[in-house]
Amino acid sequence: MAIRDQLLQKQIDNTPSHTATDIHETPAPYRRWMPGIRSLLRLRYLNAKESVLIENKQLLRYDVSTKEIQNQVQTKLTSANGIWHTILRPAVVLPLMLLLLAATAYSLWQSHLASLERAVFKNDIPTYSDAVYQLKASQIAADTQTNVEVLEKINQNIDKQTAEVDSLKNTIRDHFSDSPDVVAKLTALLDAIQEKEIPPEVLYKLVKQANDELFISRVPYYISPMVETADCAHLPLSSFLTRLFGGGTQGSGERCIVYALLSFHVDEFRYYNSDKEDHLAFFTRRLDGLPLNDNILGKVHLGDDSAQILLSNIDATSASSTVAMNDGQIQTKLMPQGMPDVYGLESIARRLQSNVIDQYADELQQSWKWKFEQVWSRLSGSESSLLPHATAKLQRRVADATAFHEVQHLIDQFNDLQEPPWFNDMLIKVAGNTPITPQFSNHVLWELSAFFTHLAYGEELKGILLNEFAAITLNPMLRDQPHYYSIRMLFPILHEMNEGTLGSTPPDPALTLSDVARSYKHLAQHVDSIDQISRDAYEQLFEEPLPDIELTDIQERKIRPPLQ
Amino acid sequence: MVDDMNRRTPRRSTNSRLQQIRERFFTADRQNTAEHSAYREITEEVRDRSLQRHEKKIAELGDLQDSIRIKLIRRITICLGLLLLSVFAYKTFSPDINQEAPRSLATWIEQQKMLRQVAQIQQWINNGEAQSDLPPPKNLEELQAWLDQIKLSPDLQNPEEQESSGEPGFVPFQCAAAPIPCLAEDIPGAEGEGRIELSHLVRNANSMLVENGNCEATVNLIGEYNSMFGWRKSEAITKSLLEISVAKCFMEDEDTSNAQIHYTRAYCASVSNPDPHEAMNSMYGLAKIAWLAKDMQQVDNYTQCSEDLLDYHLQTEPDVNTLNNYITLALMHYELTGDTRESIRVEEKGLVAARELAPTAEDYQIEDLLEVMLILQMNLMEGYLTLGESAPLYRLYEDLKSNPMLEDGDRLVAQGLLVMQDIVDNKKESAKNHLLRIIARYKTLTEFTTVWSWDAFDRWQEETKSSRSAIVDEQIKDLRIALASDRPPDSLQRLTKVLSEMGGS
Repeated sequence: MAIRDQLLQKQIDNTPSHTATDIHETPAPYRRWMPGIRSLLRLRYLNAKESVLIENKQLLRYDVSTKEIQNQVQTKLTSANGIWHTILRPAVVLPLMLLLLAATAYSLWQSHLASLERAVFKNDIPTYSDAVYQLKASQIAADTQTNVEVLEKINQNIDKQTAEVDSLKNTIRDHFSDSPDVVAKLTALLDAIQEKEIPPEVLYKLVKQANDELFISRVPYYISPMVETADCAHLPLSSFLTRLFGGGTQGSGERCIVYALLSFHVDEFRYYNSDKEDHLAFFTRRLDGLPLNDNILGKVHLGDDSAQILLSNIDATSASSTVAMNDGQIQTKLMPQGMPDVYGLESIARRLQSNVIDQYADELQQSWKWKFEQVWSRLSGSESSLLPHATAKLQRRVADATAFHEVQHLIDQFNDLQEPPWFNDMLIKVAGNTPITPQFSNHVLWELSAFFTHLAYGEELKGILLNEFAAITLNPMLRDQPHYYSIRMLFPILHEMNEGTLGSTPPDPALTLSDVARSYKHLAQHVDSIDQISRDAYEQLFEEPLPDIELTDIQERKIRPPLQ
Repeated sequence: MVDDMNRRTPRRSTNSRLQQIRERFFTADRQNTAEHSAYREITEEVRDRSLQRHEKKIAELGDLQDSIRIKLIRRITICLGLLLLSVFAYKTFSPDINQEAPRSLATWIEQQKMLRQVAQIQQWINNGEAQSDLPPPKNLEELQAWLDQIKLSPDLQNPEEQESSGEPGFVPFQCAAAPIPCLAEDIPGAEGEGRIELSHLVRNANSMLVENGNCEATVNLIGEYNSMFGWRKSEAITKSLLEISVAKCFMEDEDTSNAQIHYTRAYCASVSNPDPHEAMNSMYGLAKIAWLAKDMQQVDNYTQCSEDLLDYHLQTEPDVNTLNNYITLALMHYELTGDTRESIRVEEKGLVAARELAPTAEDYQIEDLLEVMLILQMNLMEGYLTLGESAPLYRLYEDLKSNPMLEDGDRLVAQGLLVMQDIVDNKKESAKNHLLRIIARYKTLTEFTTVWSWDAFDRWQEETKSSRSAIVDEQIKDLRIALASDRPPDSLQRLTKVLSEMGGS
């Protein structure tokens, strides 16, 4: 018995044990797989074996042979789920992972290319116009310099600046080497601003051609020029302090034109239809970060057939006006520096603005997004406010309304808006001693027409628009702007229209601040009907109805040849 | 036994053998012989060892998986970290982010703009359209300070009009909280006495306003007078009063826009007079318009400015007429701001000023001064009653008794106020004594007019109704009715009823 038992014992001890490490538990069989994948495969095997052992243990089977265990593991791995794991998953997942990797690499590469393209507009183009200005200023300094040593330094500087201008130009052109048309248009523009005296209207055409080409080529950027004319002797930066505090420096009498090229990203483009004609508007966001043209919400260059809406400026203006309403600084916005609110406009302006913001807040309160935010803020203990949302909506809506103003400019240019018989007399009255050139007169007329449209399509923003218009014309610093005079014509016209006293000839323009204030207050009381008042007044004075403008859903990119 | 088994199944696999052994284990487990017990001891030990090995293996596999997982996570973390680092590095050194466009040109354009603006401001200063307290700047540090202190004229006109309009209007008093714009044409400036034409104007204007309610025609009439004769300084009060009448006419038509214009003109015409009466009335009108527009901030501004105006006049021209206007100011608080305490404060202020003025007042002014004091005292009593403050109420009553202008009617009204306070305080005896005095002298009186308005009282009575019993409230109402100037015929009966309810006869 003892011997038999011993034999039995020995036999059991010698039975090949599943507890020994099998080959699949070691890294060896997985070496043909890439790192990471091999660990996952090994992990899957170990996991299957572990679950097989646990199952056997539950059946009190502790002494199963290695082979049987391996069979069970194999069965587990090749069962319905196992087939997926062993065959299909590597077959599907691996290509998918490779595809994902390729897609990520591709998108990163594209992002890199987009970044390079963005850099061209954000940095290179503004830098180019800056370098051209510096070169021109150095050339002027060299022309007037008599000291030989200083002249030599200036000449060295000129050589350096010339090289930089050429280098920037090449960088810009090289970036678009695959698009010869874009290169041609951009080169024409870049060459032009290097010239000493290129007239603005010629430059605007070149800018338009470049922008059109970018648009057609689906390059989502936009260039806008800014022109400044000065005595050539005043080009160097260093002349500023002398002129500011020293009573002025002697000019050369020669005029120099300097152009700044401002760059924008095109967030969106829209076509507006009026009288079967489509008008293009670009909704652009500022890229160059230069502190220029910060107050302009939209613009149309002479002879251009597309409008530009400046979203960054709209965002900043709308946000600051909302903040001003909240912190009691709206008077500062409405009335210029040091001017007290003697006409009591501040409270009216505040009411008009808060009506709109309140309306937005009410609407936003119903949105799921706001409700979610409230729940989140309760959970996280943070504070939530409707004001940023209302401000964001205000920004969008101001951009929408501004587009109608700019499209009216396009319509007036396209249709060659004729000056009504009463206009010149009214302009002479309102302009006072300001010299009236034909260009200035046209500009005032176009702005007047666009302000009618702006109010007619202002929808819920009419009160805010009234505030903005009042702020323009109450600011004596803006006397050089046509808008200043257009609004002084507009307010009494609308005032009389609403009182039913407007004939075929408009009333006297608002010559004093009290005149402006009187009309503003009157209109503020009838702000809900101001769109209709605008339409009626336009029809009565221009002897034709205000153009119907509709936003279309056109996605096709099309441009018109420039107007002559 | 093993040999048999081996013989019978020589080719059987180890598994089969193990199966047999397992069966024997089970058989042995169920047998109870000594042999089987010994067998069980051996197999139990074997089983334990098998179990241990099995469990050890499971644990080993678990540990192995854990170590692989940890290794995997570590590697993934490193990879992710590297990826994030790369993205960060790319973003940081990306060509479109790292650079900033040079600003020489932008600075130069800004310089041109600033030069134009400074030139413009200099021109305004030269033309008197802007004020500067500092000399022109000589460097950039001074420039900002200089720009900040420039004050533009509110009547900055366009250049053409500036040439024809002459010097801007001068108004001695303007309040920062609610300045009122005065055009030069609104301020009577010419020297000289009033003229016969003025009386015609006033007569015609009154006729138009009162009989026809024709505000516009009156405006035209005043304008025509101005264009024909021009307003003289001596006619300022008349002009101001006319403008106030016109403004009231527009207010009746609910044309607040025009009313505001004419209240403004009235203010501008009157404000340089030593008597602030018209200016106060104008300010009151403007505040009322703001109140109708629910612009309480502006109402507060006008109220504050009215007080500043009175203070200004009190400092420059202390006069009984100025004190009278503290009553109007208190009315503004009662009606427009609804602030009884403020109303009391300004009336107390007026009363203090009146006492200070009394020793230096001319004989002919004394009566007017005491009359003003009397009204202030009575109004204050009413104010303290509405606040439920009995101590100052009694103090003012004592003060009132020393006023020589106090007549029976006023005294009884004052006593009536005390009765009301006593009823509220449940001081029946005191109330009864005062009431007995009132009833004793009541029949001989014809009017009670000193309290300028029972409005505040009525408001208080309505608002605090719930804090009193219905009987007390009814008693107060009876007293109020009996003491008003338009008292009904059964007033005395009402007073007697109140007395009898208190247990008197």
